Amino acid sequence: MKILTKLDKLIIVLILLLSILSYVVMALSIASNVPNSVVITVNGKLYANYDLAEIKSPEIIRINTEFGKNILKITSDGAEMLDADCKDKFDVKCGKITKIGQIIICVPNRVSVELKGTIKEEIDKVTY
Amino acid sequence: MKKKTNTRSIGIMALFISIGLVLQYIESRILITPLPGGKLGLTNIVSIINIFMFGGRNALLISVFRSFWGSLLTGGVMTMAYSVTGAFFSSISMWFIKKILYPKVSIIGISIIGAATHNVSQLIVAVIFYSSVYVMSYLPILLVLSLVSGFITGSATHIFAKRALKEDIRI
Repeated sequence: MKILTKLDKLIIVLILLLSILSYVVMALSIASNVPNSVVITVNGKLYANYDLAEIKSPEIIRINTEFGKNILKITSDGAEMLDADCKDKFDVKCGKITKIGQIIICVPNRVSVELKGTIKEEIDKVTY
Repeated sequence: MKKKTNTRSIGIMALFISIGLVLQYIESRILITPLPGGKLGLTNIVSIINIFMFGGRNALLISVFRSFWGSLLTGGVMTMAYSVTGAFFSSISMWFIKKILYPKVSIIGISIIGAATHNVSQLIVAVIFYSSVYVMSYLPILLVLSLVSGFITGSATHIFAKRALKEDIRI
């Protein structure tokens, strides 16, 4: 007994093709929300600006200013404060930041490190 | 079986609404799928059988009523919007496919078409609700899922049709 007719197989192939096609279209049209630059400011003024696309291997940056010393590590996907000479070290405890808009702030040393990029529309959660 | 609406067929239709309700409830309680919205679509079995037994118009009515009451049982207003739209469009598409291509397309083919239309129409509702085209990125997965679930429910319908209805429902 034949279970599937010719037209059935055609329908299955068509739906598979449609799904592959839509996948390709989606993959091309939706870019991911990765940050593209790290902006370091000290005392509200721009200190340095790094393009993440140019950073291949992790880079250590020493921020030495009149307010204090900070050691920042920049990788191709984010930034992390390794050490600071401030008292509480909240910036070190902050850990690594990898998303657009995340920010590390060291208040005693007046240093802020922010990830910048263009945010595409993102859905938090879908419920049914 | 007669497609004319008489007291007997009204009774059987009511019976099918309640069978569909139970299936929908069981499905929402038992089946755990890795993806939100990915369901087996057990109620699709009832919809296809209804199309063959009572004709498309009655089957459409049955499935819309069933999903209306079923979403009151299993979810809320959002579920109702998804469920009723899905049931409506999948019934219409299966009705037309059956009308135009039935002997050439088997029950499994009709079932796959129904599952795919169900998923796509629900996705369009989601796009309208979230006013975001990015929900559409779910489409490829849902289409493949509808192939699987359509095949399973189509086979189940075939087995049911062969055993319960002594009619010329060919595969």
